[in-house]
Amino acid sequence: MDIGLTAKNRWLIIPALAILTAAVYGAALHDRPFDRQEALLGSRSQALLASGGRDAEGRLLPLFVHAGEDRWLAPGQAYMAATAELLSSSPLSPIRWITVLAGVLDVALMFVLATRIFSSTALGTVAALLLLFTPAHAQFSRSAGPDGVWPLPLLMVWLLGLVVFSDLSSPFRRPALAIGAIAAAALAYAQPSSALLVPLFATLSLVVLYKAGQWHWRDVRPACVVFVITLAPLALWFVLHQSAYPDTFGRWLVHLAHVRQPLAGLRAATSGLTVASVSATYWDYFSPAYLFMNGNAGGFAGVFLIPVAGLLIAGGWTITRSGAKQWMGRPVDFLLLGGFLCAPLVAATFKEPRVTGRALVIVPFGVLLATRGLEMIRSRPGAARRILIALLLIAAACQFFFWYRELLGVHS
Amino acid sequence: MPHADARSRPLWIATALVLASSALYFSRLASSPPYLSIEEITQARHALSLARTGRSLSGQRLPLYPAERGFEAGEESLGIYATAGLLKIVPFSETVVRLPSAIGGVLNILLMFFLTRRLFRSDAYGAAGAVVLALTPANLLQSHIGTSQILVGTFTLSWLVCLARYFDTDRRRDLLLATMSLGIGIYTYPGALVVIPLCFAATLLLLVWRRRRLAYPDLAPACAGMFLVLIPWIGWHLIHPERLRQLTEYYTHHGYNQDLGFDSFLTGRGLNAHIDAWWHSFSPDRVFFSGDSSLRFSTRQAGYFLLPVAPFIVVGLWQLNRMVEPLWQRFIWGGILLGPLPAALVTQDEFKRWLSILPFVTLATVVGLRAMLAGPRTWSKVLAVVLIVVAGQQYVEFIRDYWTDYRTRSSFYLGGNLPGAILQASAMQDPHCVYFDFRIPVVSPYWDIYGPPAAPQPQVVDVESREFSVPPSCPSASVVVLAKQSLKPALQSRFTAPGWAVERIPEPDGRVYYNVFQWTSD
Repeated sequence: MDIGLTAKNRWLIIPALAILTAAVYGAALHDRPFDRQEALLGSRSQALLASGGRDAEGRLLPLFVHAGEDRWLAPGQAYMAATAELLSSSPLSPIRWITVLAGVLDVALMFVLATRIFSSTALGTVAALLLLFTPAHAQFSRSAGPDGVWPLPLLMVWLLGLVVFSDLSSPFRRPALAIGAIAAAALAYAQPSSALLVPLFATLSLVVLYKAGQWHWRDVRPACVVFVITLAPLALWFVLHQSAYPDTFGRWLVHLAHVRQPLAGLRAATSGLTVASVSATYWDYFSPAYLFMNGNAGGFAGVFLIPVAGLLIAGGWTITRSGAKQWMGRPVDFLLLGGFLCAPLVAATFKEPRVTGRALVIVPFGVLLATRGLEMIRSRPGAARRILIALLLIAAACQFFFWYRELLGVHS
Repeated sequence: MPHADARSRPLWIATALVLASSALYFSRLASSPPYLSIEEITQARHALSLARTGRSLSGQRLPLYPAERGFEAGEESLGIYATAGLLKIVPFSETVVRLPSAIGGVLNILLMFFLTRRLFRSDAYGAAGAVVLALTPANLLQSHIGTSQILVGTFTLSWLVCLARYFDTDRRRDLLLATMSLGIGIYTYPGALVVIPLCFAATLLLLVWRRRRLAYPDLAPACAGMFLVLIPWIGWHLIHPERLRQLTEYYTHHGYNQDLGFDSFLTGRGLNAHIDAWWHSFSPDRVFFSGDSSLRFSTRQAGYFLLPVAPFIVVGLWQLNRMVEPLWQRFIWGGILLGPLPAALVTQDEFKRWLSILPFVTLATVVGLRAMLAGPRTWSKVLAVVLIVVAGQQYVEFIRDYWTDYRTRSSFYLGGNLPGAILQASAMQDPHCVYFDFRIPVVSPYWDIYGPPAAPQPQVVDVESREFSVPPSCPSASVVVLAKQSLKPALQSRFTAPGWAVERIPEPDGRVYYNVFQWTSD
């Protein structure tokens, strides 16, 4: 279903969404002073520029930028920040505008993705707006901390690649999957906690491909090749600079001792104590008091707005009730539910509860599940359901308003 | 007409289940947990008082809610009267205090057999349900705690059994029995005050849903059953209207509801705590790995349910709509999701508050077991068998730990061997010359149980004070102090003087928490 726009004009929605997002996320951006992590990112990127692309140890264009002591910056953040510094003429460091830009990209990509999944411009627009008005997304799009929105554009591209590939009628299946594979591999460069997302999403991709069926090795081969090529610089870097491993991937992914002794690593990762504490942290990430209704936050907003809870549950229920057989016909459903359930897994491995920046990948999956719920409710007959949808969306807008007002108020 | 063997088979199975579970559940009742907790001591004191004098500790004659100073609202009485009844026949022991709970645990297993048998129309799955519940760590652990919380599960189960019979036969007598047995549950544990009304409301809703109208011939016996059983409750609260206020006051303060009172339902922080308490009740860590955080209620080596049962529960809930009638689907989902409501209301999520969930989770487990064993795939059958074997192995580990190492780990949290210290201290000639250091918590209630009959309460003093000394009028004296405290030089010099001897009170592993210094004038 569309909303009265021609196919060509439909894409005019994207710039409109982008302008709205930039306005909402960019308002009063510098009213709040930089925190320690942001200041570090700004100063390191400036130093990198000043030294002609060399780090403090004299390495030219290092993959991970040493930020003193045991701190390292992920390449995605360091080089994006350096590029922004290069282009900016403002006396204020422009690093926060990078995350605003990431937020804008997310919203635009969500429109494309949801329009594609649900074959509806209206649902695509609603999904994009739901993402735009998701408190956690808005908050982290206004902050250039070490964990936040950095991996989300890549995540959306990966999702889009898989969605297009799952559509057997699409003429771009192979290139789409290949681009998705590049994006999935590039997650390793985006932020510390996203390194673990690479194996997680690679596994999820394989399951979706298996569920989708009807593909040949020749369809998947380019994706595998570019996936490996994208990760190759990482392998090369660690071969050349082994001393950088313990404080980067040794901390974010697999401890050096466990790389040397994989069996011991496996034992440690699967010990009862580890599994118990990780499972408790993982479970906590789904607490309604964290996801939807945080009494300690402005406007009682959690990661999502309260009305999104109902839509999200409706979406999840629709997918689970449709049964495993339906997933063969609609592997994207499996992707949405699987992605939503897996998203906090990475954050949980750090065993720290409710660190939203690390678990932010849950947001796009949550928004898409909510849109799936909306689609289900909309498809049922009766005016009451349409009134319900309208009420939920109005309530969401109101709650966001109160949350946002407090956000800006606190900053000023 | 069914063959005689087929008709008697359920009875044989039920008898076998009762005998086997009794052997397990009544075994080491006095020694695991190693000592009576303060809550069990309170129940035991009420029971002893009622058995001896027919009056509660506060002097009321056969009260419905025996009260004492500090908890004027009074305790739920079913377990207390059961213990008092036993004490009329046999002398006091830890086993007697815990026996009503253990009987409740065995009854749960028996009732689970009849419930699953009726739902699945199979003796084998009935037995499977009973075995699953028997091998649930939480059912055993809570059956060994003498405060009767397990009885909430027992009466929830008896309600479900009668209700299942009613849904099969449409005999209204069963409906009456269902709500009557549900109503009795309100006299077992405070958490029942939330659970029982919910279950009763669910009964009425399902009766309406089943007939698609307000069917008064069904609703009348349901309401009558509940009303009949609640007559004493209503009468008591008419005479003592302050009780509900006292109860509410108690459970909105004293560490409950974050001490916020009713504000906990009106503030963001309070609401968060309620929602989190509900959500965390289902945390896999607690449910499958380590149970309650306190060693008083958990071994911390196993969850409420065995870990290999987790896949059965997940598959069971997933396949519920395929394997069970819609009515029972609602019961199971509702029972599981609303089970932790008492815990959520008081923001204290120990399992003892939401034991009504046990039958519903067990039913989900049996559904999962059946789905995997009866499914078309060989791998799922093999997996089910492997999981059953692993579950058996985990239970053996659990029970071995519960009977041995757990006693050592938990003794500190149950106050240590204070009964041993009291028995040793009161062995002296003159009961007036027994002293306890004030650093030893809650001596008085334990003295009521373990001290000599009719002996005066011991004197609680600061043993380290210079003013403390045994009066010359005492021909002999006992002074009980914490073992770590007696290492202090001041005490060492005092108690190594002539005439003093020390008796170290051993814990299950030989460690010592209490020293009893005994003095005789000889």
